[in-house]
Amino acid sequence: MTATVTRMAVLLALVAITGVVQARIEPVSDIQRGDAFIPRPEVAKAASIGFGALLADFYWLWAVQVVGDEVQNPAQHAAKIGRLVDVVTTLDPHVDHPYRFAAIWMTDSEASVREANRLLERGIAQHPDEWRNRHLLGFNHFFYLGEPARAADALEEAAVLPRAPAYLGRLAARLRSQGGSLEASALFLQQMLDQAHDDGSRAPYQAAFDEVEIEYSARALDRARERFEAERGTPLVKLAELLRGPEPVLEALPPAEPSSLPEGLRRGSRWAIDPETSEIFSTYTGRRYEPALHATDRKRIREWQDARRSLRETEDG
Amino acid sequence: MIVVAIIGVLASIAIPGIQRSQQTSKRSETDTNLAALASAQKRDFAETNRYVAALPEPMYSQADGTGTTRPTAIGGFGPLIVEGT
Repeated sequence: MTATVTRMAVLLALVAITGVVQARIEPVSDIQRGDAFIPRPEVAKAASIGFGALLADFYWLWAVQVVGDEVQNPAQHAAKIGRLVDVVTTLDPHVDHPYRFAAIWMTDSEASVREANRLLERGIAQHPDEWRNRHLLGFNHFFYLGEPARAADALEEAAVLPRAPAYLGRLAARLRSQGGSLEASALFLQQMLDQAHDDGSRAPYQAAFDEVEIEYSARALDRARERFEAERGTPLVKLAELLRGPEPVLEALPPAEPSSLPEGLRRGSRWAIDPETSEIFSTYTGRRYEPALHATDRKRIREWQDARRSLRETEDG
Repeated sequence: MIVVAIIGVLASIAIPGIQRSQQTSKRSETDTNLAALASAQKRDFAETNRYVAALPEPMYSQADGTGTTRPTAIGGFGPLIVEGT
């Protein structure tokens, strides 16, 4: 009797100890962390035994529910959305909307944006004539990753596809100019102008072309300012100073309005120096030829670039 | 009678779940459309240096002919990605 009681007590003690020890162990799997299990795409593909499209629907509904369930900020579930859409598009690559759905929500970090771009590239391979996938790819490169040349590549491809809005081509040209390649911007705009069928579709490209012409002059004035400041040792306060002195840097300022502007539409624009940024600009355009970004977005791009650089330096040792 | 009762019990369990799921899907569609709109605003801002104050009329079209309207495209931004959710 005593032996039986002892065995029971030992058994109970072992059960209690096991419970305590298990509670102290760090959860390791997704299920134990409270996340549901999402298989790797290749595993899901093998397990679908030919019913890939059906299983893809299941994971797609799941991805939709993840966004719908989150009232505050669905982007905080970017990793989960990415894994689900990866499974969906592996099981059924012909789907269309999930590629863009992922791109819209996967914006919380550089890793998420790069994963969204990988999915978009898969979507582009499946739907080469769909301008929206290339468009979002270009936007991600420009707006999140700060890679204007790659953004311009994607947007130029999108701009010539059916049903693409006209502003895409203009934005692509503007992005292309960021790396200093104003000639490439002008060339692309010229191509778009040549392809335009009527005055209505030609006008926006002509307006962009005019901006490029003014930017050429603005960059020439930048170089003149550099020469002025190097020679005189003082900062340029007014552009008229470029024309003064025994050896003026310039004989005349370039026109501040595009040459294609009819006489009747001229509005007496002039060159000015922005008091905040010290940039030289024409009052005709009111700004330099570059994509507009809010200060917070510029800050985020810089922070991500800095993080990328320091990671690379750490890896290089 | 028992079969009907069982079906009734099962339906009473399933229907709220389905309704909740439908609501979540609709919220997801709405959220995605809003996020797409915000994203389109940023893209347009990059080119024009201004935000669109009001959405142009072509955004809306009669979808079912009964008088209800449904967003199908963002005029100035091109078609919006609303389909499929």
